[in-house]
Amino acid sequence: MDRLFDWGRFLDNIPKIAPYLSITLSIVVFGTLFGVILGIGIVLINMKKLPVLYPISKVYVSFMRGTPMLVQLMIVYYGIPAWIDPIFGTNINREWSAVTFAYITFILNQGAFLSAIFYGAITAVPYGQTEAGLSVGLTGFQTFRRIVVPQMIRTALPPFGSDLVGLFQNSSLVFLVGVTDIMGRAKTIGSATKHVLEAYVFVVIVYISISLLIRLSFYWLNKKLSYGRGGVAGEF
Amino acid sequence: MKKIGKQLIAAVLITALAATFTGCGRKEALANADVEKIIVGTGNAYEPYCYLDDSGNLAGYEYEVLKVVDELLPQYEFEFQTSDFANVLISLDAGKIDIAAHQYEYNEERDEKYLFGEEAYTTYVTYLVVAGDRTDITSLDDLQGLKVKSSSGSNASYILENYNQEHADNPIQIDYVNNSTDEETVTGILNGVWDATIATKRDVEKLNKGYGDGADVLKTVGEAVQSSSTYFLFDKENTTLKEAVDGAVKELRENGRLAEISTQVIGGDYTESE
Repeated sequence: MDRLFDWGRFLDNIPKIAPYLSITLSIVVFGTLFGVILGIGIVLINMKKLPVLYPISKVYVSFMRGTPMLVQLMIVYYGIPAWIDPIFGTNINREWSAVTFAYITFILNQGAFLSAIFYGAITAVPYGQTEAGLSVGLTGFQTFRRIVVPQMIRTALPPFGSDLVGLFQNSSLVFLVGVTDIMGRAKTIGSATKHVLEAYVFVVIVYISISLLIRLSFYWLNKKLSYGRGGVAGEF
Repeated sequence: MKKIGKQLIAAVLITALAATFTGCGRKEALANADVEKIIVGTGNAYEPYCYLDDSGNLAGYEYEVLKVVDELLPQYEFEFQTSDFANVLISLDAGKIDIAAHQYEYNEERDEKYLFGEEAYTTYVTYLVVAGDRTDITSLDDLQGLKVKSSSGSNASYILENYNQEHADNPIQIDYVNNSTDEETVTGILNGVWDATIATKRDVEKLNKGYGDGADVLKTVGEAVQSSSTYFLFDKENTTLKEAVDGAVKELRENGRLAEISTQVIGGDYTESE
């Protein structure tokens, strides 16, 4: 057999894999950005206990948190078009690219996970504080924005960071529906050149560096937001 | 007042949800209305049939053949979409693709669900493949109780499953490994993770060339497990497209173009017989 690991091949692979980092990152960015918006929406539904939407959101969040990401990807990729197209007379099954479905999956998934993080963080602020705010004449919204939100962000930040690291790794699943991300590119290099180890090693380095980067920035953010107090334990 | 506020928020959320579903990502329809867009589904990890080249573009025999087929059919425009092997046929089920191209051999199970092209574009004769130094295996019967690598949805799995139905007392252990690389296959067979796998002679030659370092680390043994050919697969309803593609493949075989592509891409003429 050829040498299992060869530095020449390793270096050759870098320019082949690196451009696909943009796919991985775009999934993470879209998933997080719209996931935060969706998460906030779900939290609002939960707090206001909106009729109809409240039970739906409960089922939805427990589904998203309780099923494997791969299943969700398959359901969104094959199931959503089968459900939407006949109702609206559209043809998203064919017209939307695989990457669009990947975005939708990750947004829906992140929305559920982030809503749980946000809701937990909000309820961690004792209700007495809201009562105190209201009693001095602040409106409900003012109390929420000035008293609850600043404290809630500090509690939500560490789990938000680890969620982001997890999301980054989960994004490698999209290759199964034909979206080529860095992991997928490594695999295809493996089948085209007969040598997969060098490509995998490079992907490992990329994943580790980015996850360290995310953790470091959250560590820094957390310190910044602790305003001289001890900070939340276990954030790094 | 409070109640109205709640209802308002609910209304806004519902519209926002609906808007995201219908609004984003819709592409413009083709400008030329006479040309029908056909989506071809193929794999991305089976060199030299379908794989991604150095710059990440689809390459391989399936692609080259269908590209010339497309040239012969002005009424269609082919667009290629790659995915994991197991997902190609699911995509055909779901109507995401019109043609499935991944060296599909004929078998009854597939025939029940899909429409087979009538023109074969490669022969596909599969053998048992074992490590070069093994002498104890020459037929499926020798594999009872042993571990064989296969992948879900493949014809090899279909053959093994049928064999196991008849020999339920001591079945062959089928190990379904999806999306594995050639390197994993060779290493796994050499170090005994699997006792055998099922592949064509040309695939084994390819593996020996890639990993054998001049020696035949793997070998085919015994009689052919199955002699068949590969066909394009279509949706049951899609007979017009099937007939058009069949006609084009026939023409390519008769004018020698198919053999030419096979020699160029696979390294031998595998379009008639082996």
